[in-house]
Amino acid sequence: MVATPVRTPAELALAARYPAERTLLPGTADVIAIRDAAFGGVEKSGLPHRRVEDWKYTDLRARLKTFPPAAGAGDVARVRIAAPAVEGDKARRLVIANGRYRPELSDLEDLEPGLSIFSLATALEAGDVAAVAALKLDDAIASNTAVALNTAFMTDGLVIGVANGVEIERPVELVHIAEGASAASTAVRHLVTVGKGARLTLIETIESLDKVAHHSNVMTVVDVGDGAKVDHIRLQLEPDEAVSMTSLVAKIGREANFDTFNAALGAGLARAQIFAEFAGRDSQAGFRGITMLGGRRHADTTLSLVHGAENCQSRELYKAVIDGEARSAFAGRIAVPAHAQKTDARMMTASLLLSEEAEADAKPELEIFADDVQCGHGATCGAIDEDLLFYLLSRGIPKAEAESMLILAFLGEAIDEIQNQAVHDALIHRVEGWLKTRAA
Amino acid sequence: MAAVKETVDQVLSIDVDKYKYGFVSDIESDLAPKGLNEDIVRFISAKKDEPEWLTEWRLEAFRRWQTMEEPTWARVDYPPIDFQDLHYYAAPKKTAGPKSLDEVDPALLETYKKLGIPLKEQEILAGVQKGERQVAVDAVFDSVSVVTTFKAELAKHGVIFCPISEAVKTHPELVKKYLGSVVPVSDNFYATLNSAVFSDGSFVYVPKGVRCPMELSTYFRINEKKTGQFERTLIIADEGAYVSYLEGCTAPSRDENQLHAAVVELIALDDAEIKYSTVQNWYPGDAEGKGGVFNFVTKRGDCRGKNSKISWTQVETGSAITWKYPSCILRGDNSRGEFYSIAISNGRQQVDSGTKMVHLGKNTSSKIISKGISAGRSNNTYRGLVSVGRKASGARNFTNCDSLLIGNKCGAHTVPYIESKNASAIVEHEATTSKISDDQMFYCLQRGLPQEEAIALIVNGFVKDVLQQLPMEFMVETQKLIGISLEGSVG
Repeated sequence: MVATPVRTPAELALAARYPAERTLLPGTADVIAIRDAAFGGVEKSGLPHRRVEDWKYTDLRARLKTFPPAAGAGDVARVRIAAPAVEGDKARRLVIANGRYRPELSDLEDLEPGLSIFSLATALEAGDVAAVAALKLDDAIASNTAVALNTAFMTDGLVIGVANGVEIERPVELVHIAEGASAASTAVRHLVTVGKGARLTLIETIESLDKVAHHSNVMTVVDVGDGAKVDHIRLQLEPDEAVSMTSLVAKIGREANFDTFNAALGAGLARAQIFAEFAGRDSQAGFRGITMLGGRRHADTTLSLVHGAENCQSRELYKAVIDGEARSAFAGRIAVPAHAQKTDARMMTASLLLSEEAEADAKPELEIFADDVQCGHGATCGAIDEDLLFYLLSRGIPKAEAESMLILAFLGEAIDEIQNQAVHDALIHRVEGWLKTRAA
Repeated sequence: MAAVKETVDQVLSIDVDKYKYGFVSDIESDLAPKGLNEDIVRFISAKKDEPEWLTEWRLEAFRRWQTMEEPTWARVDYPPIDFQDLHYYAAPKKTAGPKSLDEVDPALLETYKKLGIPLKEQEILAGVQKGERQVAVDAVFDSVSVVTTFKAELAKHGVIFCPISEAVKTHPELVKKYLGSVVPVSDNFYATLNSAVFSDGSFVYVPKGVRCPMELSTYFRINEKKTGQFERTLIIADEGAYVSYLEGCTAPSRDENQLHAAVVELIALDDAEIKYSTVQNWYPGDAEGKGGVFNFVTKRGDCRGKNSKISWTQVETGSAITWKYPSCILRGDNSRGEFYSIAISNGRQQVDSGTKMVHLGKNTSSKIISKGISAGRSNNTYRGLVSVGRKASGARNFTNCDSLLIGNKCGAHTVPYIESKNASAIVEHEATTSKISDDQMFYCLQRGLPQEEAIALIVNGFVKDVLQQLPMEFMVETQKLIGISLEGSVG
């Protein structure tokens, strides 16, 4: 017995938007077909609710009140003068404003040999075979609602390539900025290919210049070649009114090294998804992140990792600090197929509840079919340790300050894993700022 | 780390091929016609000579069940069950109810002898086993309870231990008050089905301040072909009472699947304690996965009173499919819930089991220790929920689940859900052995024990008090399994 779902305002808005926009979005007939299939899936099942296991703790049907119209071009002048989120990282900044790549605002000087940067919209319009092929994803990923909405509505993004053996020293930073006084939505897709033995540090910042209910949907598909090393860091910094969805899809080759860090610092409703797979043996990967929440905010980190090859090692560490009436959710799944012997995976999630009204949910899941593996997971949840606090108080440190120190130490365990010093410092700076506001 | 040989042998020795309870007893049965409709529900109710309110209760459950869908979220895979192709009631003939053991069908006594369950009181009282602990047994054969021992002895202490069908008549006020109060009629698909067609099961009531003088035990046996067994157990420990209850189950080896959907409700009032132990050994099917029991069970305990305690211990070795989550609702302040589980799967068995600890009262605590061992082509899943409500200040949970894989054709999965809404609650979930107290570890190592042995020793000591509630043979077996299951553990 399946009841006909009552459409929510957000679902109705989506249903009205897509048919009107589908042919105006970039891409040839092939791309439109991919978009149609993606949107068809969302339209059929509606927005996911708590009975859909993947969205158990983030009920989109209930939480997405509306789905705003597509963002306009925005005021480029305001974007141009916006202060950068990370100072001093000497990164090559590539600006994506209101869902459109802005080469005129981006730093494209002295492009290193072997590094290529193009607009996805241009590639799709031109029917670039590789770009169109890269839009196709495994069913399990493609059918995910946030991914499907991204596929249906994506307007632009970057196609970044690093040639085999090329080591790019200077970080590449994707700066996502939403500009506009009224709520709008954006969907951006990046395709990043890092060749064999190549190196790249990829930073993403997502922010909004106005305190309005923008919806952003950023998806990054990374292909880590054999022996390559990729460091990915994302700072999600939108205002409390915003809805932010991010998806990272990573395929990790043989003897490769991949690290990703997600700092969920903003948005009223944030969902960070990671779909990663070890495609070659003897590789290493780190998946880490912090979540800082206050007010009535909600943040969800969902990780799905397939340890698909032998002798790969992964470390997962996610920490959340939750204040006010906020709610943090973490769902991590590590799957080890039968052939992936010698897998070594350790997943840890810890939540610190700072108020009576805060809530933390965790679901660290393991799915193991190989017998010679080491997989562990841990989850903890609690308040600040009274003993630690007492120790600091007894040394004359005021309570608020002592709490801040302990919170910083708690998050620091994850933050200290960030290898890029400038980003590390910028993040610590933001955490300190958050703690100061909290203590005040 | 791969499993060591001793572990492998140990698990293979409880191989599905060696299921020793697979015999069929030739006993004439009284069967309800196949299928399920309101008439069958009325038929069962009439057979039991039930009062009007219970018939209505069943019918309401049946109507509700018709609108429900089978749950599919568990990690188990089985062909669709044709609920109309089953007998919902089977009873050994002579349902008048034996007055004494002499009136019980000898074939039936023979069955229990084969199962190693002594039903004859005098044997226990005067025979070889003198000095052993006394165990009162309620034996449930297909759909009816055939014999309950030690009733008189228990009655002296005011303990009521009888088939639930009897309790409906003799203590209707208790049954009416508590039946369905922990597992509501509409709780889930199988619980609702059980509410509609439950046939028999045990009823226990321990009055205020009474410590039940002996172990209570029920043995469940599915014998008849194409039958479903739906027993219902209700245990109430009144203020300050204590009871320990043991449940064992077996079934004949048959090619077709048998359905077992039980509901167990435990209620612990102020300062009461209930220990519930299960040794589940239903027929698991043959090595190729043919036949076996589908075990879809809803077990839930309600720590309703302050300072109450409910402890579940389960040793799961049987069933083709296990879908079972013994849970504790920690409602009373300072109440405690415990769950100790050892689940061993082999052949093509599929186990999806775990627990729910729902912390509602202040200073409630819960402990979950789960060990899963999978071999052959089996799948073994731990699925658990720890939830801490807004008002559960000072709640404390510790969860540890380890699994071990033997061979690379089986799977071990862990799906824990942790939901905390209270900052003063401390919830810990871990799947490594590193959390064993460093002091204890150091003490053992310093005396020359290798690390593995030290861990086994400590863990065995940790769960010992619960394991001791199990019958001797199972305790020894289980203890060995605990010792070895730590080697080569994975999450």
